[in-house]
Amino acid sequence: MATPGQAVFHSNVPRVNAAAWSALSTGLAAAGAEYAARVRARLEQGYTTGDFVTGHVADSVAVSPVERTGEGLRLTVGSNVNYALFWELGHVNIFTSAGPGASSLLGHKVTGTYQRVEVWRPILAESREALREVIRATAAAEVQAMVGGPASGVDAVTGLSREAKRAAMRRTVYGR
Amino acid sequence: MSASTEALLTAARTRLLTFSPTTGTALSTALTGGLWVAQAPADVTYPYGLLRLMNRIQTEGYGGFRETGDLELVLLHKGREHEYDVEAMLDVADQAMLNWWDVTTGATWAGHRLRDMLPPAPAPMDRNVVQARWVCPYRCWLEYLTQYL
Repeated sequence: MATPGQAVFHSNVPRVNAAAWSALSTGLAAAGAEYAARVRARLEQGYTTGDFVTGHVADSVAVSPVERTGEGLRLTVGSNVNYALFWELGHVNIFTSAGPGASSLLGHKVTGTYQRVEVWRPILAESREALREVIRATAAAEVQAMVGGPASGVDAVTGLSREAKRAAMRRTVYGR
Repeated sequence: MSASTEALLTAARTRLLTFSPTTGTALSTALTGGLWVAQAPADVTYPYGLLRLMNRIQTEGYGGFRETGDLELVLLHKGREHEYDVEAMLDVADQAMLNWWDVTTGATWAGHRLRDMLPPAPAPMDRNVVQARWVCPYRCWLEYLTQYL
């Protein structure tokens, strides 16, 4: 207990720590939703001609809640439609021809061909930087909201943007 | 250092095919249908394998000269009774690539790998085909880039 005139130390580390985890969790969830949206948009075009698209796989794209593990935060984006797996990893398709004379459904001689159309992995690879930016921006906005700072980057005291403050500092230091 | 992507793939393919296990059969003998890059010809016979590089990323902090990536091997065989045969082939692949350092390309391979036997599935998948997937990471300095250092 503090006596009058005595300073009392309060550690905000636990609060800041919790806020950081919360902000990163929100950011990861936003990135998961962004990735799922990109996968869904691609799957709506179908795997090959697009003539047989029902939307079944696209509608099945789901995002798990963010969980905290020993390695950090984790989120899973996936589908419970099993043929999505086989398109992604490849499969021998009994309905597609292996070339002239090699197979024929009507001829009752179906040998099938190896078919593969990757969707999930390439989109994740291509979107890596964009998803990282979603995490950063979302987490930063939440932290700004928590600490009461300006999300716009405008200093609440001086009313100057970060760039304007830097320009003012340059004029002060270098005279230009 | 790898002179080219082709050199990298060729080195991995040669290693997989020519590695002679203490017990078991070399892949060059077991894979009677061959080991193909990316896509097999339409008239390929079982069992056969497909090979490719993926997830090629220039490692941060090395100025773009160092690359990490994954080598993916997919094995296909016809007839569910061949499931153990395919697993045996992957055992050989494990042995061939575990901690292998290739002096010609400078690539170091695998300290771990991902390996899955895909489950049989209904049409349009041919459920009589046994299919397994094996992925191992590598690290490499690309000579076609480092020559400019």
